[in-house]
Amino acid sequence: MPPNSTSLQTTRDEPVLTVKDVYKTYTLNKGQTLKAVDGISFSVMSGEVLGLVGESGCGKSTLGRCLLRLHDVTSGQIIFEGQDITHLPERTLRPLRQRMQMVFQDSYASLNPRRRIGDLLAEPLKVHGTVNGERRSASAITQRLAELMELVSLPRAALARYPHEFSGGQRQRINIARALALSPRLIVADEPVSALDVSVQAQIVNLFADLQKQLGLTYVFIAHDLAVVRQISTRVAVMYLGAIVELGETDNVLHHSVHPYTIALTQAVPRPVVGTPQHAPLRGEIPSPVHKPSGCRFHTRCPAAQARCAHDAPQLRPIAPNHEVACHYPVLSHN
Amino acid sequence: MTQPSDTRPFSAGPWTSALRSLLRNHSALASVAVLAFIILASLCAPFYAHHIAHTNPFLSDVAGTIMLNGQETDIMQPNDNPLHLGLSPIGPTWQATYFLGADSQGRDIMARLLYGGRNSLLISFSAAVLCLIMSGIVGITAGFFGGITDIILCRLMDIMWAVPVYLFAISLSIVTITSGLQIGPFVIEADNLLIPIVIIALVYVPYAARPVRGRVIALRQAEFVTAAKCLGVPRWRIILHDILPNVSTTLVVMGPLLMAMALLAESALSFLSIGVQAPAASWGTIILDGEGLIYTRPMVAIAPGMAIVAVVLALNILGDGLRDALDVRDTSRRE
Repeated sequence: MPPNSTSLQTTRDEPVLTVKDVYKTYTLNKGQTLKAVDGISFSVMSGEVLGLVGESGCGKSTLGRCLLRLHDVTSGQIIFEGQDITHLPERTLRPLRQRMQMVFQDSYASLNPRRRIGDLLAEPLKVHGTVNGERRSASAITQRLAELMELVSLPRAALARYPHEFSGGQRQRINIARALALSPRLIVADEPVSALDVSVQAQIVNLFADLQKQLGLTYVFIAHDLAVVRQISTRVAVMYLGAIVELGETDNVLHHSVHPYTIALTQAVPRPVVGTPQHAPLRGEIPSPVHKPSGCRFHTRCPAAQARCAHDAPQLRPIAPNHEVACHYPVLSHN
Repeated sequence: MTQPSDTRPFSAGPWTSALRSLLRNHSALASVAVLAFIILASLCAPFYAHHIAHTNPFLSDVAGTIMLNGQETDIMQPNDNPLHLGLSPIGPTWQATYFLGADSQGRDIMARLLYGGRNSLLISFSAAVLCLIMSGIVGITAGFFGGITDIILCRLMDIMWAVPVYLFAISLSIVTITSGLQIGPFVIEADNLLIPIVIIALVYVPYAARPVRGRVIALRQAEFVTAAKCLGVPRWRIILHDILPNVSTTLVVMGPLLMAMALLAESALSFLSIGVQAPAASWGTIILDGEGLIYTRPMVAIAPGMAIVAVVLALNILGDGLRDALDVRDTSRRE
């Protein structure tokens, strides 16, 4: 499907999604608490793709699920299209769910193995059965299913098959089709390509990019692969231990990184050029989110840490237009 | 995207492929044949009694005679001990009349065996089905809703579990068999088959509901259930369309094994004369009739015993076959 360049003139003034100071805490036994999401705020504008990167266990998937109220947040606010949805009961939330959808990482686990693709894709259409007060007819559903198959470039015959008959990439297309069924405005994609072969990853990322342009979608795109994020994102947020350490336009964050953690991440990407100097990798392991370091959460591994970092937690602050960082001593000379 | 190699318009559903694999399993097919034979024979009980054996298996006939090898022979014959004390019923004649001999009331064992089979099979089948329905409801409710619902249901089942199955069934039977049951305007007579059916179904609920609950807890956390929530699918619809089809295999596999256990329980209760009530027969009551004749006419007890063994064995083999065919552990699900 060629990207339709004329249809994309979406307004950028009103955020589709605003997250204010969100915490998600799990209580473990022995009275310990795990702060999976530790005070996160950001907004996603209409038509924008926010890439969310970080190591495994940094809380990015938990955050993604909190955004769509699949988990309830411990505190903070989630505002979708100007409406606070943080504490909406499921019944009130249901109509809004048509406008915000999710694509999951495991393409097999997210499709019920005992239902045909057509049945799976028709489910959201049947649940949200009324359009402008009129019931969706059976023929309207059939027609919509055909449109969806075309959008994700799958043959219509796929509708009569079961999930296990498809490859990982094809199943991810089915998942995307299901997320698109109700014409949402926002899609949270939770590592949608990390379980796929590299060759297939590119196809699926391209599909995401094409659909975004064609349908004017807004994405929160969660990934741990910087190359994937660089390809699709307009803005990038880098997460470390449940908090955003650097946030800004893709080029700023990935090519002019100022946070020592982001720099370490970008330098860890292997470069296929002979003679590229090797940078010292980060020392140590990511600390346990149960026992977070005091002060700046990165100071235990930071090459630029100073005495202040051990007790004084830095806040996210603007350092340049469209570029924010949570660090007392950002590396400004880099690049 | 390439189309899956096979071009049939509809691919085989999970039930169709399970049936195909069951049809390739010879021991399962043999057990189905044995069961079909026994069930058919039991269904033919009135035909056998009226047109082949020419007896009424519910009336005692201690003074009667039959023609055997051209001689008139007493049904109750003097014992062959030195003093010729007491009478024994006629042994197996291996002819149409009294094929397997008579019991101490002079009734045809073969005819009673067929009539008894009707009751035994009907009770064990109905009890198994009823038990599966109840366990399905209890297991899905406890597993899906969790929390306080789960705790209450599990504790109730623990209480039932603490009492040995047979002891529990015996106590319930003794209460109901003396007075029948009165539920509001409905009176169930003491000799109604519903009583053993309900009792046997009830005592096995904890055994069948527990695996269902475990499976549902696993399914509740499955990503496709999260995906359904994300689409705004109401909970009852998730239970019906996503949980139930995946639990149904567990239920179907348990079916034959439950029926085997129910048959044994029914026979035990009837043997203790608190199951099927005279003059009706079941395999358990015939064994009881044969108990006093075990030295002189062992066939009276052996014949129903063999029938029970055959059915229980066949059901177990069928259950194994079903488990393999339905692939409950889903080992082959990923490519």
